[in-house]
Amino acid sequence: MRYTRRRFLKQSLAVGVGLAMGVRGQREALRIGVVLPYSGVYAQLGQDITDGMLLYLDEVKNQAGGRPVQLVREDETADPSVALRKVTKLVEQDRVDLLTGLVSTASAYAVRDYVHNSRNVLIVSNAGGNALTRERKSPYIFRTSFTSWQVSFPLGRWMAERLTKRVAVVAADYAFGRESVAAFKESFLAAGGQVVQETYTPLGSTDFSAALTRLLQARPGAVFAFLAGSDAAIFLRQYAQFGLKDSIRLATTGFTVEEDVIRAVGQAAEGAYSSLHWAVRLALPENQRFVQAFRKRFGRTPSVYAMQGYDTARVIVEAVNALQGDLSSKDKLVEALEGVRFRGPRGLFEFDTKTHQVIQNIYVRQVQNIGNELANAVVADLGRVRDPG
Amino acid sequence: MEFYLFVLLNGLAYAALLFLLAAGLSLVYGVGRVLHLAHGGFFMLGGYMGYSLYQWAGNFWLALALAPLLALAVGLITERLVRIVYGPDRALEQVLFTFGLAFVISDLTRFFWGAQVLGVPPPPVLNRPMGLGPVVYPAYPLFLILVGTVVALGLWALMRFTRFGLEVRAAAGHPKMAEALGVPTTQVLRRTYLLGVALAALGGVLAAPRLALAPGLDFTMLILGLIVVVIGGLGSVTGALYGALLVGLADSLGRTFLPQFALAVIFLLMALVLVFRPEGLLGGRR
Amino acid sequence: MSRWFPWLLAVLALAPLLGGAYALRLGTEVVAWSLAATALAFLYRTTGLVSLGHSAFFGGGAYAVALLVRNIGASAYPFAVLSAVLLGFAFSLLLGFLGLRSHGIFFLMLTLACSQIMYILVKQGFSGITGGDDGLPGIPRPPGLEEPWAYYLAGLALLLGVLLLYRAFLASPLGQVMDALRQNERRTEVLGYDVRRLKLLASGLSGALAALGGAYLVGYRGFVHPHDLSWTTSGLLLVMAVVGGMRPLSAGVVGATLLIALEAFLSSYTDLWNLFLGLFLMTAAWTTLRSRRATHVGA
Repeated sequence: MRYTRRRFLKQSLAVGVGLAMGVRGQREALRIGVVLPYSGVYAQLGQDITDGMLLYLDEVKNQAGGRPVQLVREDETADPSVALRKVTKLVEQDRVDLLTGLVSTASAYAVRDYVHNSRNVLIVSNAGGNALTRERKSPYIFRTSFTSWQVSFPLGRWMAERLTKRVAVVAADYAFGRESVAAFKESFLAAGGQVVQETYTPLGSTDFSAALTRLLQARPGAVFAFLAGSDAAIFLRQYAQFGLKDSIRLATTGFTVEEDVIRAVGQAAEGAYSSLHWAVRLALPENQRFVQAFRKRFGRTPSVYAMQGYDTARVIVEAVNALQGDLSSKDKLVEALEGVRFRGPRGLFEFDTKTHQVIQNIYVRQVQNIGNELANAVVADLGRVRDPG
Repeated sequence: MEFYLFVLLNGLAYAALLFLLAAGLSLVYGVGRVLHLAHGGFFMLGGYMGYSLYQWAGNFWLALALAPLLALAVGLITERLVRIVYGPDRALEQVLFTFGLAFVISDLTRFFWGAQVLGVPPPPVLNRPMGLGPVVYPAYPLFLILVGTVVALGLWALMRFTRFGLEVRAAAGHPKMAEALGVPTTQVLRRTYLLGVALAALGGVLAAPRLALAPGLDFTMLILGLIVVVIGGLGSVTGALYGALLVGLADSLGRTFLPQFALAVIFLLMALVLVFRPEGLLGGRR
Repeated sequence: MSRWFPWLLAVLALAPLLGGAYALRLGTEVVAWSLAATALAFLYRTTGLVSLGHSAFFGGGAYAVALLVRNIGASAYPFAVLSAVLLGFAFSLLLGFLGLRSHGIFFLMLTLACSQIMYILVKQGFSGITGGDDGLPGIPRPPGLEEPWAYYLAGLALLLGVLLLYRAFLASPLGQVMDALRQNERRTEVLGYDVRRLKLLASGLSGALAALGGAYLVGYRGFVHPHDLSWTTSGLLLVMAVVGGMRPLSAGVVGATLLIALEAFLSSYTDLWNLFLGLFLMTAAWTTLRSRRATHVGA
């Protein structure tokens, strides 16, 4: 994992040597600016997305439109100011051909105006804030990941119909958490559901005993939760310790029980339902190939973030292939990207030409112990979901 | 009724962890006037070492016993480094130095253990809800309260009945006088530092089944530790205890009734204490 | 010290203009942070107080300007900046008042608490007005200073003006009393000076200058975010001031330049840039101590 930088430094070196030797047919390298967190709390997501990209690039022998691909990485950190600084560096100093990355929604918003005004193409591979492809959309910004609405909205109705109509909500108190809850409530309430308690916890909480104590008091039929990263891990573990795991069913947005969290908490996550645009056990041939290849190369199970990286690389390569490597016209590049359509690990991938947000299937998964291994298996396919924009 | 009991127990369990973290910080400041901003790093390091020991041995109790010892080994090195900035009138340099050290520990931890969220399950005997009469509450936080109490008593006894404790109290009370009377202050400081490191690491291992090991834990805990020692009064174990209890309970109440603003409640508490008793609840002896 | 300083300033000024768009951006950031770091150093120089809460003024100034300009328009800039500075002065005065009985680590933690409360209120409490944890985007540049080089030169002029004022202040009778205050508060009091008023004044000026830095930052960057109010920002400001030496006029500028250059440079080459930053800080502390030992002056 930590040798990836060395590995593609080697790749870049190989590319450089190839160029120097004037290898037949080789043209100027396609430089892709990658802005992801490589330090701090979100470092694992940055690494996952990067690994996914590398896996795909390996499969196409690191070529796009007849040009060798070069990734120029910069650390997004957790400071939107730094993200903007890095993006401007990539554009103005490193002269990249296009940009990709961004895990944090705040960072995405911070760079949005700059990217739009300087007419640089940005392919967001994670940041899921709704507004990025709604009020703040731009013809130059594409998103291959998800919107908080896309992932949470379908779960509401499913929960009301399949689990219970009395739900308590626990969510991390930040924009993404609130957006997720709002989307969930939209469909949940419309399907006749009732929210009996709503608790927001500060991001980076170290203890959820209080929230769980409140839950015990509210006695809901099930719990809808959205938490991420270490919050999710602590919450799940304490949920089990308070005896709630076996008494009150838990449904979340997929990030709360993704593969990285399952690795951290093990048994405590078993039985939890979640909605997401992918699952590691999704029974599609493209997915099975992807998961196997990822495991073989990186020695761990891929997460949804790795899958997003994989698809992002594919989107870029296919668009550049369609243009035969000629990126002189930004508008043509935008057009080429809009036209990208393929069957990937998550199913059918295509962009909404109005918003540049990916249209995809949303699945309901459950953490199940199959063959002595805990992972997310698909229990329902909620169909194509297009963000309203 | 059961609800309020839970709120109390949640707060006490958290207080136990905070006490382990803060006791060392308070003592080191008391004896050496050093604000050890890398202290949170040792808490986190203890947790990570506990994780690795657990992976290797498969036994939580073994991890609990050995992790503080491993952390001590690291502490021996950092103590020699921090010694550079010991002394009065060096507050700024201490801040800079220990802050830098905190960054170093932070990145080295991420280098060795990676950035993903890691977890340690509670030992099987404690990994279940426990019946307290009519009420059912998880066993592990009760265990934390027990450990916290035992350590607090142990430290009190250490300070009260041993020579080392006497030296620590002397050095904390009046360093120049203590030296004049023959107390080997540099040695005392060294031992206090190591004790602090061991306590923090112990807290880290104990916290591992309850929290999540991930980048950023060190600074989160550092801030909490600073709040605890400042509220309780720097330099004493009792101060750290009172501070931990206050912060733990305030945190529990805050999270239960004003969940989004729990941290603001704690900061407000600290601000109020500092406005009305600028040296902390037990401070002001200098 | 004051001999090489004008030359440093000249180099600082010219380099970004010749270095290209990215260097110009970094230079602009350095100017903004220099203003705030100087404010922090100024507070220490005059009162001996160390603040870990200056992000409240730095970020607060940024938010004040952002909110006013966003709602009224770019023409409101002069008014917005003035408001930010006055608000910074007023709140810092309040903080100074709270800190009158406080000193050392206790004041440090008090400032931390106050700025963190503000951070949480902005991020979660009043998120309807402040944009919550996505911040506020789309802040326009001030009229007439839309060009990056123009904005940068304006900032340099501002910074130069501030430093000249600082120097004049230190040389003035009031400044000398402040110096005395830092060296020995008791004696200064005994000599008949109103220590309280002096501390409050210094506090207010410090907050006002930090707010000015925040205002300058938001004008360049185009958005404001709760991170500008966080303790990491406060910590960074403190580190800048300390690395710069705390006492010299140039402390804030030197610290800001070093830290920003280091951060920008290191993070492009390694994921472990925090480690190298940490080593740098440890070395800086060590060398400061060695030079201090050589020039030890009794108080």
